[in-house]
Amino acid sequence: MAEIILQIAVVLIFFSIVFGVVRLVVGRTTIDRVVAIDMLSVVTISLIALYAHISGRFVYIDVALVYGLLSFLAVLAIARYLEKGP
Amino acid sequence: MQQDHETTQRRLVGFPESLIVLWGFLFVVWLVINSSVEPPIVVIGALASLALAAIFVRRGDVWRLGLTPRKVFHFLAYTGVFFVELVKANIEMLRYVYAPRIDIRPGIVKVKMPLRSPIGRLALANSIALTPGSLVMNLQGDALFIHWLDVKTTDPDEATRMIIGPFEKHLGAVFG
Amino acid sequence: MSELIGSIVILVGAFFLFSAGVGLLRMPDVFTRIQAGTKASTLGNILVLAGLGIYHPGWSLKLLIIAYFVLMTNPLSSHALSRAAHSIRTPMARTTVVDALRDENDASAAKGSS
Repeated sequence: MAEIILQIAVVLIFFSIVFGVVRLVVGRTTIDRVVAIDMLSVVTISLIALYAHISGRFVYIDVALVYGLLSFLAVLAIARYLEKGP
Repeated sequence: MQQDHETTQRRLVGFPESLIVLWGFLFVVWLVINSSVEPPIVVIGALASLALAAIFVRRGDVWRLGLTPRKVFHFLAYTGVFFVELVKANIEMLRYVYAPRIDIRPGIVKVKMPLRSPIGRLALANSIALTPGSLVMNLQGDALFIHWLDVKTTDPDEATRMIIGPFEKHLGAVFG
Repeated sequence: MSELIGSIVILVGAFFLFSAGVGLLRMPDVFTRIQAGTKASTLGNILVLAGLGIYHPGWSLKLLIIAYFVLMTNPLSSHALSRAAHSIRTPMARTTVVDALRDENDASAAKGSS
């Protein structure tokens, strides 16, 4: 039972990533794309943590932490760059 | 010269206790991330977090936080209020997202910032960003500019009461 | 039993992440998209991590640090993005009723030039 619920959850997260990628491709403005990347990074943190549970390895939690840190810094740097103007 | 001496004096007020609070916090984070208590790791963590805490506390008065039981109580109450507001915000967001036709009237309104200390302002801005339909955009002096998903009023006082009312009491007691 | 509770909490979190994606697609302009993306994905992430903590109580401290980290940084990046979007004059939705920040900036610019 628990396994099936987990599989449904992973499918939902997969569709969330698909929607994020659609917004990333369609865009319209640059900020839209950056917002999509920001949301995708948060979704990816959840997915990496979930994968740590599925594969049973504790090490992947560290990967999620470092990924979150790096993507936060990247989004912040892009936002500052866009604000000052190229 | 006199000026320098006075600023040094002012900086050293509350130096040890805020240093200890920040040091303890960083050290606990280090231990949790390493998830082991072998002697070399503990020694390195203690030294590194002491150095970081000393640098940050000396550089500015951002981290000057006293720690009293009353503040801890208000911080816990604030956490409870915050999670209730977070869940409410998400349910409201679900209503907007899954409506057959998105019917919103967004806008940017001006709101007064009641808090003085930088950490308090950071905490208030982050809480506003996670509460129903509001997002902090800019802070100019004492005026916060908030993007509101469904504008109900444009009067600053009314908007202040509606948006930051739930948090103001507890955060004011903790951070001042 | 704890497995069932944990997986249900993970499912609810995944549903919030899903609705963050839907909101990102459906909302009319940049600022509303930032709101939908930030709020729903923050709560979804916290719920997924909480569900994992119910599965593995031994991991819960590190999961708590990740959840706290996301809780602190996600609003920050949304402030930075919305400020950048406003300062480069990204168009807002047609239904927008008021823009006090633009009015304030225009007023101060007019005062500075006169």
